[in-house]
Amino acid sequence: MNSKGSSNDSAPSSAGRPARGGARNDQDLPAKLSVANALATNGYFVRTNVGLSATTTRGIADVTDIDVLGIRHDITFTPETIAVSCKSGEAKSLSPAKEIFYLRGVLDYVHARTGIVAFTKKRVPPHLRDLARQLDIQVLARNEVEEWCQNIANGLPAPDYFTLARYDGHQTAWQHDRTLADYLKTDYWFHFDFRNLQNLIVHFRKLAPKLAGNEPWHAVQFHDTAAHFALTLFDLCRHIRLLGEGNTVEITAAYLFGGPPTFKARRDLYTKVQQLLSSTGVLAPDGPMLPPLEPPYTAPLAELAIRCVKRPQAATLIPTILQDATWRALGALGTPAREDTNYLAAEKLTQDLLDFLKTATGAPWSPKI
Amino acid sequence: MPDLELIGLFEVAALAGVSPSAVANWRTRIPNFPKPVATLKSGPVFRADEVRSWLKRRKEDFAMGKDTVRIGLRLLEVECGIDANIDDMHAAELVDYEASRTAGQAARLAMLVRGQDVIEDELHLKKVASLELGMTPPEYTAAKQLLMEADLLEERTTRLGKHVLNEKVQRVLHADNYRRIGELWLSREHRTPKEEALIETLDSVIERPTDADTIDALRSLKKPDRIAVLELGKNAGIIDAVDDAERLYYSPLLWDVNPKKLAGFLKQADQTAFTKVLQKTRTRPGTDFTSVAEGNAPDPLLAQAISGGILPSYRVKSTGGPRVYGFAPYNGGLLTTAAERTTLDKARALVSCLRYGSEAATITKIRNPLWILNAMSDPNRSYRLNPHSELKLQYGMLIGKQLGRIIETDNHRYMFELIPTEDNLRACAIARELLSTGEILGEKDPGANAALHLVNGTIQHPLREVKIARRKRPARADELEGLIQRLRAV
Repeated sequence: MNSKGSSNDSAPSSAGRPARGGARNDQDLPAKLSVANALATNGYFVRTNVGLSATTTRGIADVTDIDVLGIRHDITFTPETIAVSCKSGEAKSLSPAKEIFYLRGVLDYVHARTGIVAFTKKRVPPHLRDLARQLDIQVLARNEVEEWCQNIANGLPAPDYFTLARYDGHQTAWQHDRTLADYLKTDYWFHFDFRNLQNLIVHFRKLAPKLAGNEPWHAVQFHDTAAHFALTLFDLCRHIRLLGEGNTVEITAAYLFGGPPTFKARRDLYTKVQQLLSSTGVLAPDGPMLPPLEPPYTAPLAELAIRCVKRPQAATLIPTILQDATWRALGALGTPAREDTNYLAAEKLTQDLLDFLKTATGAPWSPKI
Repeated sequence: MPDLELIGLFEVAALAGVSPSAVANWRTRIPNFPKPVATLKSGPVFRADEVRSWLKRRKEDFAMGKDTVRIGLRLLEVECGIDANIDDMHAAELVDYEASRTAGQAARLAMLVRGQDVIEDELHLKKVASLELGMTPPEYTAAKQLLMEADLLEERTTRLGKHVLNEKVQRVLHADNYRRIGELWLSREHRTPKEEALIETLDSVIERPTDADTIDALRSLKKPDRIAVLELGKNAGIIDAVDDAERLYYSPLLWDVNPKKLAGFLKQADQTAFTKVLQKTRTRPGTDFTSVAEGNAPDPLLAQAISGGILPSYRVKSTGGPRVYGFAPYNGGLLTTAAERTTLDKARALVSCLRYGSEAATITKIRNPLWILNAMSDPNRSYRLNPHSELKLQYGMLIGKQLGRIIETDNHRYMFELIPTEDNLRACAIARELLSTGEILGEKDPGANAALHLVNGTIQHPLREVKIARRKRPARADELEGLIQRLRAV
């Protein structure tokens, strides 16, 4: 957790969105990248500098960010989240106790199970380690950070995603067109429920026509967006698993609507809202109208979800396959190719997801896995 | 050429909303596909305006009053009928139906691979298709090509160079699979008038017996061809005459009734009223015909239709009194074998019991029959429904049909437990389709059950016992003697 360029405080960003293109000024960056690399090697989908926000009187405002966030799902589509705060400062003002309490709050906010505060230079006294243990947070100091990274990588070949050069390349790829950048960095993590599916498609519709596949950043943005889409799709998959696979289209429609389980109830509610908004003049025949009761992509989304539900072991690999494709597009070595049935199915499901995004957003191109 | 917009295969695919491999197939298979203006090292280049107008024409062709979903369904039915009932698959007559057979085989192959996601061993699939669907390797290749063109199957090479097939058959919107196959069949320019007549005739007779003279495609054929089409339909068990005069035809593949009985009934029946009843039962499988069965029908012939088996009907009796639920003879299920008849019968019985539960139960009415069906076929619930006092009578019919058993609990309530055999689970899947959409689309092809054989290690795996292909030879004297002895015994 850091503010602009500093490594000594987890205070929220001064105003608005986090600083852009400030990677070079970020003193914690080397630590963040090695932690991110270790988590990615261990099979996590990893994001760095994830913005967290809260609603204010003026809308959503940034509060802070998570240095490294790793997510992977088990076969019931339940996420296992790990949040890491990296601090490279040595100043007296950098208070380990404050960082520990701060991370505890962040962990609760993002429903993360594991929290780690990594101080690469500062010494942490034993009583603060006890405090961290009581709050279920792991504290790493100095050379422990490197050891932890080696342990978590568990001898697996490093895919070399998060090198400084490639990280810069990734940032630059997102600078070409920022239609989705801010949304994926912050707002996406605010509503981690049914709204994300719809919001992501709506935002991606604006970007999709610009992606023709003839520039490397096209692949990076497409893959990255698809990976975020996969994370939110798993929430729907969990929902379908709980309610049964008998009537997936109906369950998907209800999930997207975010409410009543039956079509009749949804239609009645929709009609009431329509009447209310029409009576107040918000909706007019030649003015703004409500979106359709069921988005046109409901059935294809249900198709995609049921495929994932039927093959959970393969489906949960989708974000990491997309992550691999993103970084390979930036020149990374990537994870070693596999040919076991599960992985082949995972690659196929990933392609299904990319094709779905193409169809749902009217994109002229979609990458091939 | 200031406004000349040139595009490649990928752009054509994007315009058409299909994969580039599908476009490559169109180029080789559809003669009127626009010719490239140049062929570069990177591939052919087309004029965008030509491609756009070709795609528009193609779309209009499909929209010419042709219901492509129905065509896809009929193609599958014709192929199932030919495969089930015709021994000589190399008969010269079948050459006339090549486009339809390829499309029908593609539909069957699609149902076979549905849900596989990735097919790692194509040779294995080819063997299962040969064994279960009777497809020769060239037929398999043609069907696979068609599925790739329809974007239901895709070839892929992995990073390590392994060749695999990606399955893209819809699991939720089954009609979409048939639509794509129907569209492709319509786009084939080399299909013969005879196969068009066969498909149109089957489509006409599938819902109600129809006079052959009213079917345009059949009427436009020369007499020998017309006879050949009807003969093939008869041999495949999909079209047959109701009357001796061979004017009125019906589909025995879809209508499980004695033709003489049907002819007798149709002679007396009020056609308009009967058509209305057929439509009603088609819209709602498991229509309540209690009043008709009790003799209170406005038309006594309807009561005769129910009692005489013209309309399949099921009687359920529980605390809410007896009720009779009727079904249309055709709901999309294929009656190719006796086993399939039994499965369809079980599915209809299930629907009747569930309809009773939601309409006539006195203690607790079922809110959504699909929920009960899901619970019943859920292995995590041991295929059991929650205990209830009404279950014993309500599901009693299902015990006779060997669909399940009733277990009495300590507090004098009853639990229904499904016997999870392959055909019972298929009956549940068919019942689910009948209740949700009214028509069987996903579970249509009985051969699709063979998908289990694609999974190595299942009990039913057919390739474990390899059948050696043997040369034909005349029977030996001792073998002939044995055969004669057995026939005499019969």
